Amino acid sequence: MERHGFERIETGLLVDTYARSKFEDTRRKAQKFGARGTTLKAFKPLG
Amino acid sequence: MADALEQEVEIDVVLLKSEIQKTYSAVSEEPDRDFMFPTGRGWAEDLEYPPELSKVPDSAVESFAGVANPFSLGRLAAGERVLDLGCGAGTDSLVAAQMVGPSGGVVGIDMTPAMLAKARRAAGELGVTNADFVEGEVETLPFPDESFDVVISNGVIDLVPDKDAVYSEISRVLAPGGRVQIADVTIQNPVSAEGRRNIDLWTG
Repeated sequence: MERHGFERIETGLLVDTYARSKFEDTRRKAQKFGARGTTLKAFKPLG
Repeated sequence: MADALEQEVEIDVVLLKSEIQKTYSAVSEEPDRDFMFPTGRGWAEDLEYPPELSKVPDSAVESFAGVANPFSLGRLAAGERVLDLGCGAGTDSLVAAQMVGPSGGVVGIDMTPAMLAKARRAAGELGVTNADFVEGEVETLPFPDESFDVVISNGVIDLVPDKDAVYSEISRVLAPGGRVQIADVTIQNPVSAEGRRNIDLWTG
């Protein structure tokens, strides 16, 4: 995002989204790769 | 090793888009099915969505497939012009439409017609007139420069191979001082080139 000029980049907490999957294989792969939900806020400069 | 992990990997983009459309059409048309990711109102409530969620019709929220809560980073203000990238059945758009009120507006864009049909129906059920839904792709947004104050999105940019194109388009359509406020998937551990070619890992 910095490459595209965004500033004041803020990230939120990680969420264990795929721990809620009904599929064991998905839960296993998510754990292996550390796949989590997260949030991000960033601003486009004024000038 | 690092070079190998950072190398460009060729993805069959046409196949990927087709698989994504198949998956999310199913989320739209058969919301009670089990998917690889959590869905529905219970999931949105667990993510502590804002109170506006309670008014969003079940017809939209049953197909909610977000990965986190973009509103956890702050509420939208009355009067803001909002773009929802990959709006799906419209849950986030319709939460946003209530926040910005009649002096603001929301445009949701999605490439899955079945999802857009649900979003439009749900907006009618909710009775909001400040939400529009447009078919299109997030790498080539059909909107003028600097036409939005906020860009929201939930679990969409991770599905797009050309993330630079998406961020470039977001920057183009945002007004100066505007913000992006998104939820997405982050990967904490390296994924091999072979893994990144695996379409199932993208759509799951």
